[in-house]
Amino acid sequence: MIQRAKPLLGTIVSIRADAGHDVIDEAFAGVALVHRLMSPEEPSSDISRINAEAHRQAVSVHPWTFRVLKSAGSMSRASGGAFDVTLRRHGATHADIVLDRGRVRLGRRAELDLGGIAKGFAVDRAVDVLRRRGATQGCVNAGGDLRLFGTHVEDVRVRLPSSPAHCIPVASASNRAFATSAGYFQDEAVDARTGERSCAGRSITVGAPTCMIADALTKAVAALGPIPALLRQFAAEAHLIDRHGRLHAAAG
Amino acid sequence: MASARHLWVPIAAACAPAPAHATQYLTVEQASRLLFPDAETFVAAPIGAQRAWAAMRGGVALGHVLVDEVIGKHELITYAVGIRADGSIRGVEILDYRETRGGEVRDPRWRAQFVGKKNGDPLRLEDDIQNISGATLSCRHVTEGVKRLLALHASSTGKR
Repeated sequence: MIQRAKPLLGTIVSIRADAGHDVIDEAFAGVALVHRLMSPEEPSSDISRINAEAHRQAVSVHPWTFRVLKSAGSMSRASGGAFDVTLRRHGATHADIVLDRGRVRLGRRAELDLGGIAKGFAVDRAVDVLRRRGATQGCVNAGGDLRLFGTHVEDVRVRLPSSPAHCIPVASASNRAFATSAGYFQDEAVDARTGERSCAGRSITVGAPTCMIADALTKAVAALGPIPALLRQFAAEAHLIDRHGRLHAAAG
Repeated sequence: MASARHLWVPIAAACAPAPAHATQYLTVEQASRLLFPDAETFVAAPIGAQRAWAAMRGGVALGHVLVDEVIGKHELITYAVGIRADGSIRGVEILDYRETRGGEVRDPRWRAQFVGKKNGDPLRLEDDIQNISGATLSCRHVTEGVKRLLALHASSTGKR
C-alpha cells in the first residue's frame, strides 16, 4: 500500500492504494486536470472562460466540465436551489446555465463557482484511474472530501466543529464517498438562496456512492436539513455533529 | 422547500474524540527518487540553511530536490520540490503532514523542536489516523513555500 499527497485544488490531496507510483502519478494527473479546468484562479480554465464570455456566446468546454455542470444542474433542481453553482450572484440562478452538446451558454452574466462539487468530482476521477489500472483497495482524500474503494471496511472520522483538531468516527464503510461541510477553518457552506452560512458551530457529513454527489449534497443538507426524499434520490445518508460534539444521523 | 431539521436522530458516540492526524507519506529519499527517477545518486547540496540535494547522473546535475517545512494555523507540512537544471518545477511531494492541537503552534519552544529535524526522526505525535472527512486548511503555505524555494534556487545556481 502506497500513500502520497500533493498540493492540488487549493488543498492537500492524498491517495492511498495498492498500486505502483506510476499509477498513483496518473491518478494525481486526473486531479490536476480538474484543477486546470475548473479553478476560477486559472485564467484559461473552462470556468474562467465561461464567466468571461458565456453570457455573450456559447463556450466549448472539456467533457469533464460539461459533466460537472450537468450534475450540478440536477442537484440544484433536486434541492430547490439550495445548491447552486451561480451562488445567485448578479441575480443569476442555475436556470440561466444552458448546456448543449459540449457547449455552455449563460442567459445572463454570472460567476460560476464549482467549489462545492469539483473537489468531489476530482476524487471520483482519481478513483477511476486507480481501479482501471488494477488497484483493489484504497482511499482518495481531497482535503476532507474522500472516497473509499475496495471491499475492506474502514472507519471514517469527522472533525469536531468545536475542536477541529479532534475527530470522532461517524461511519464504517467500503466503496463509499464522504464529504463534510463545517463552520471551522475557512471552508464554509453557504445557502445559495440566502447567502447565509449554514454550518455555524456544527458540521454536516454526507455519505454517497460518489464523492461528487457527497460533496454537493452536504451544501443542500446543510441548508435544508436531511430531507428523506433528497437522500433517497441520491442513495445517500447524512450525519450531523452539533456544537456539543454530539452525533446525529438521518437516512432516506 | 421546507426545512427538515427535526429529522436528525441522535446517535451514541462510538468512542471518545481522538486527536486528528499525523501522516508520513514519503521519506526524503523516496521523494527524491520519484522526482528524479533518472538520477543515479543524490548529493547533499544545501543552499545556506535550506536542505537540498543535487540529483546526479553521469557526473551531471539533472536538478535539485529542496526540502522545506511550513507551519499553518493548525498544521505542519514537510514537502519536497524537484527543480530541474533549467529552473522549472519537476514536481512537488508532501513528505509528512501533522496536525496540532491548536495553540501550541504559536509557542516558539514548540516550534523550535522541528527546526533542523532530520528526516527519519520519529515524530512524537499520535499514530496515523486515516479517512478524515472535513476540510483541512488550504495549501496556501505550501504554494508560497514553493515560490520561495524557486527564488532561492534561482539565486544560488549562478554561484555553484
